[in-house]
Amino acid sequence: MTRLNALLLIAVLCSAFYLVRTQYDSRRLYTEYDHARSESRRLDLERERLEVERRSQGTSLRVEKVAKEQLHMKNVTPAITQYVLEPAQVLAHGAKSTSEPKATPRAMPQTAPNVAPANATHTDPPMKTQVAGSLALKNESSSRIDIP
Amino acid sequence: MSRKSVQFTSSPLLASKTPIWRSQFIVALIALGFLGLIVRAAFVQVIENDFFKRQGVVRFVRTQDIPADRGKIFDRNGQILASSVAVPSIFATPEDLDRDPVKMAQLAKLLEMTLPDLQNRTKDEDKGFVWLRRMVDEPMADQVKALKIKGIGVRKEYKRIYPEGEAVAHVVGYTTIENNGQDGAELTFNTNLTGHKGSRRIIKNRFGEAVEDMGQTLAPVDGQDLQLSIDSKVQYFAYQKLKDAVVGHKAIAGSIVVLDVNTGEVLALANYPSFTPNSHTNLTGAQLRNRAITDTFEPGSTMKPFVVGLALEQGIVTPDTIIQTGGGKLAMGGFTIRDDSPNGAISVRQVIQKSSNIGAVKISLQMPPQQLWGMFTQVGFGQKPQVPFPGLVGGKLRSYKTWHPIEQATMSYGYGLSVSLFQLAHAYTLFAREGEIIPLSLMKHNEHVAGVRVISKQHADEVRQMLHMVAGPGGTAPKAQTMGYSVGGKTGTAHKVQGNGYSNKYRGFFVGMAPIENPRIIVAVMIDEPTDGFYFGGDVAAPVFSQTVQQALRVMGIQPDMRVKPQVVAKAEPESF
Repeated sequence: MTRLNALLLIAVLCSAFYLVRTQYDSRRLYTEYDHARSESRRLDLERERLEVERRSQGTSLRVEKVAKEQLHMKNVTPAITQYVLEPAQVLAHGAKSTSEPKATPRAMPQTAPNVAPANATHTDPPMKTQVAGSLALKNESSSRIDIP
Repeated sequence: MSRKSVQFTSSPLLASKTPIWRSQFIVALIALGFLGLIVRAAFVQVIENDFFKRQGVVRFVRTQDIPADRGKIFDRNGQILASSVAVPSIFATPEDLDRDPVKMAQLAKLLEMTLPDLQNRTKDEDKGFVWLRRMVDEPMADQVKALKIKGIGVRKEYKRIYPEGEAVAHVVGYTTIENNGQDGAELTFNTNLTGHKGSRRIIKNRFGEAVEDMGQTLAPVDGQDLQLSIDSKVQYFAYQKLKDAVVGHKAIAGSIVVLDVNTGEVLALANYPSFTPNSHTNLTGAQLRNRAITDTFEPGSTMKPFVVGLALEQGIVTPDTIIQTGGGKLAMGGFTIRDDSPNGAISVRQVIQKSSNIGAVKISLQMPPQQLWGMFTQVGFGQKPQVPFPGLVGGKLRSYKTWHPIEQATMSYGYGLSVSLFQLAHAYTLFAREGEIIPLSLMKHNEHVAGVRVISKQHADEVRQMLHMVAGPGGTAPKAQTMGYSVGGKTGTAHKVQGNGYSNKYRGFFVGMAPIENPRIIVAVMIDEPTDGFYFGGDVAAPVFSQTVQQALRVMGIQPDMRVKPQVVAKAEPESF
């Protein structure tokens, strides 16, 4: 009987210590979780701030200014645009239609205001003397790093 | 008595026997006392423990608000037009503020306030909380923190940022410092954008860290994002061109509306002067007014195509019917109706092309007032447009029952009724959509929208051809032409009402569409009081139309419908597949 009591006492003590330990752990982990959560919130807000910042660096106003003043680009007009067919349609029509001005709207080249802000760091005007067609290609590829 | 007989150890008092009940009574009292304590303890801890539990909770459980984000506003391509950003604000708790004069002076200098002003604000020691400066930039907040003044703190607040600035200010609107929408889409959709804040109950330890969640967490509901039909590129161009025209012609204001003919979406809506929504202080009413939808005016000659359209529909005239406009003057009911120059005998086409008032009057007087009124009503004049937006007005269109012949005559060239530019652009969908009026939308939906037929396709097409002639040789608006795209539209130049009569101040308009065979956009431009000598719609508004159409159609990826002499200097390499 005494032995059983002693055993039970030890069990109760163990359980009690374990409870204390668990409680402590739970609080410690909750604190960590809370820190992580507020960190995630902070990062979210930071991301939003940066997105807005990126947008305000890439507004039409600024892009046009940089394109005109630093890159010496000018607005595209239909007179300096060569309209080409999309690949699928070229295959369908055969080679004869490539020289015709009839083209799908999507093949229209992008103009200066569509240039990605990343280009703004160029100081020399690399595209100035290039023809419209390749200008369009260049801009199209660079617009991929533009804001989605 | 011998000395021995006096013994201190044996008092006669002690000799008498103490009754046993006395000690028992004391023991019983003490036992009762303990029993009382035990009962009380049981009562407090087991039976009536709610009060103490509650008091305990009050002392260590905190209820924290979880803020909800205000929804963002995007343009049709997903570009941010308005977003909330957390920025620091500086506050003081006057009751435990360290009022060291040196530190206070440093703080005042940092906050760009005068020392007396700062002291005045923090004077009342009973106050627990006072804002010192709200929404400051990050470096300033860091410097304030570095001063480490007791009772001065930094808290994050949400500030609305508008990257596109003044170009879209009238559409997007702005909010108060408390994030309540005040104008534009921010006001209209304030409830949807706002969301609901949440809360949670937590236990904090002595470091102020949350250690346990008490349950009862209410998750915040973020505001919904909003996608407008506005295309920020088209909007930007439209605003820039409008601004250039208003400044160039020394006008007091101007507005422009660009509509997508297929979907009825508003691609751009801009006014000049505008304002910067990021810092909306010291704003004047002139800047804040969204003129395109809140200001009504007499539309002048832009009304004539509706009269002609109706006359064609009623079979009263054909495009080739000859109208005698004589020497440019027509006396009627004590008034004289004038043309700008004598046109003689001209066809109905030319009435539109040359914008002959007399021609329009002669056509309109062949129809009963009710029919004209019906036409004007069907295209939306005199009614508030069904678009959720603050400040929309319906303009004035009196009932046909009260029309006198002279009024019917003046209405046919746009005097005696009033419309907003937004309504005017809407009404022109009649010609762009081959006789249908379509509902407009400021929200992106990107779907072809069905219209209500008002006149037949054939007659709408005929009027559209007349509108094309307006922009051609011999028309009133050759400046509306643009490279690569065929355009058509109608000029309008209206005297402004001043006092009891018409003044020599003008409004110039142009409402048109492009490409003319299969219109994709409608652009309406209004320039208010140009004062540099030019005031005709064809001179002041048509060039804005031309430039906006050029840019808008290019951005929309629409292929030119007119041959252009290529100016490409070298041939491009053939593409390889």
